[in-house]
Amino acid sequence: MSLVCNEVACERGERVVFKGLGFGLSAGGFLLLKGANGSGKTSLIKLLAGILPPVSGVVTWNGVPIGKSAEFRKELTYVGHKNAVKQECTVEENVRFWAKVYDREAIVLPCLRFFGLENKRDVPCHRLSSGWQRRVALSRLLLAPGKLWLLDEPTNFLDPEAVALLGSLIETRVKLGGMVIAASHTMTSAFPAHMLMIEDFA
Amino acid sequence: MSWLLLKRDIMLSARRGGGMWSALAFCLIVFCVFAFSLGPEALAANAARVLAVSVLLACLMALPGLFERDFEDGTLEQYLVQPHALEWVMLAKLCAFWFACALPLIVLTPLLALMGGLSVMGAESLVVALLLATPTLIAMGAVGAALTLGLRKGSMVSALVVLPLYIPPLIFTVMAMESEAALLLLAGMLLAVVPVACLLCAALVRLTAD
Repeated sequence: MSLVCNEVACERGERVVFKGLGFGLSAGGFLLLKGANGSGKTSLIKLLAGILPPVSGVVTWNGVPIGKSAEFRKELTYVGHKNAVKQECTVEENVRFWAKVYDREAIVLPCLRFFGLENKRDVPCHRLSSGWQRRVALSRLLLAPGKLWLLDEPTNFLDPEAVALLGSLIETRVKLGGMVIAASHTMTSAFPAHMLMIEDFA
Repeated sequence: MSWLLLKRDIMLSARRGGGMWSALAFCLIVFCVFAFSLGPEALAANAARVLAVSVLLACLMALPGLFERDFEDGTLEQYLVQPHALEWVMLAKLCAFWFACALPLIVLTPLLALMGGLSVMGAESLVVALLLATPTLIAMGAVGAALTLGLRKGSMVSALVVLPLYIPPLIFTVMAMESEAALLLLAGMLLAVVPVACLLCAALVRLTAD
């Protein structure tokens, strides 16, 4: 299992965000993307998720370009900086919807418990703070069976307790042979992580 | 996933309420405006035309919200990275919109038709014609909504793009009151337009996500 980013370039409008960017990540790898605001962290995460096509270069999953790899979509779990949480639904309804999509309804309650959402399961999401809504979004990490996690500013709005919880979750995932790529300018890792400064490719 | 999405979108529309009720209110108001301006005799002669236009405009008014919320809250991005084909997701969204918005309008139609002086037979024909025409109208409108997704004042641009496309289904809906061949034409349009609209919407949503 490997994700390879080969000489990738990205443009937004007429601005070249980054070019010649390359790295490889294999099972058990954790890559932290660092950079200032507007340096292209979100663009790179979207590019790796296949949402944004590269201007040049190629991203491959097990040697196959991600756009042509059905396996890649099955292995991918993406948490963007938007939560994809429906405000009209309760916490449990939101979590249960994605559990049904991934056919893993049995783990809804353990998942709510893990993120401390058990007591808020019947609360409509529009009544939750941004931090709690972020926890609801992050619950997809436990629900989705994919081995590759792409996280865009995952610690946004989280309190230190939730940041530690997310850190332990990432560590466990990586130790179990998963792959995690997280873009953040605040996040640090308590365990070995590769670091990529995105400004180096501007 | 499409079935789950269909159920959730209908549930969300019911909880929000706003879209369905404002479409119904808009349809009623447009019908009343025509009724007052035409007078009872002219209204009785043109009730089917007036109702077809009222339903068309009500659908058009509700359509900009079809993808907007999913785009703003990041749900659309999640659909893009799922292994399921985005075209099926689009079809599920169109179906959910039809159930949540067009179906209540069609339920309201016989009442307005009878109030407008249309016969019971005429009201029945109109309902059948609208059952076939509204999915086509929604599919065409969805392409406009996807095309203008994320744009400021996108709903105005979308209406300008979509309104000319609404003319053929509108003509066939009115013709269906007198000719069964028009019903076949409406059915044919539905079968041709809906799949193409799903493909176009998926492609446009992918482009917008860039």
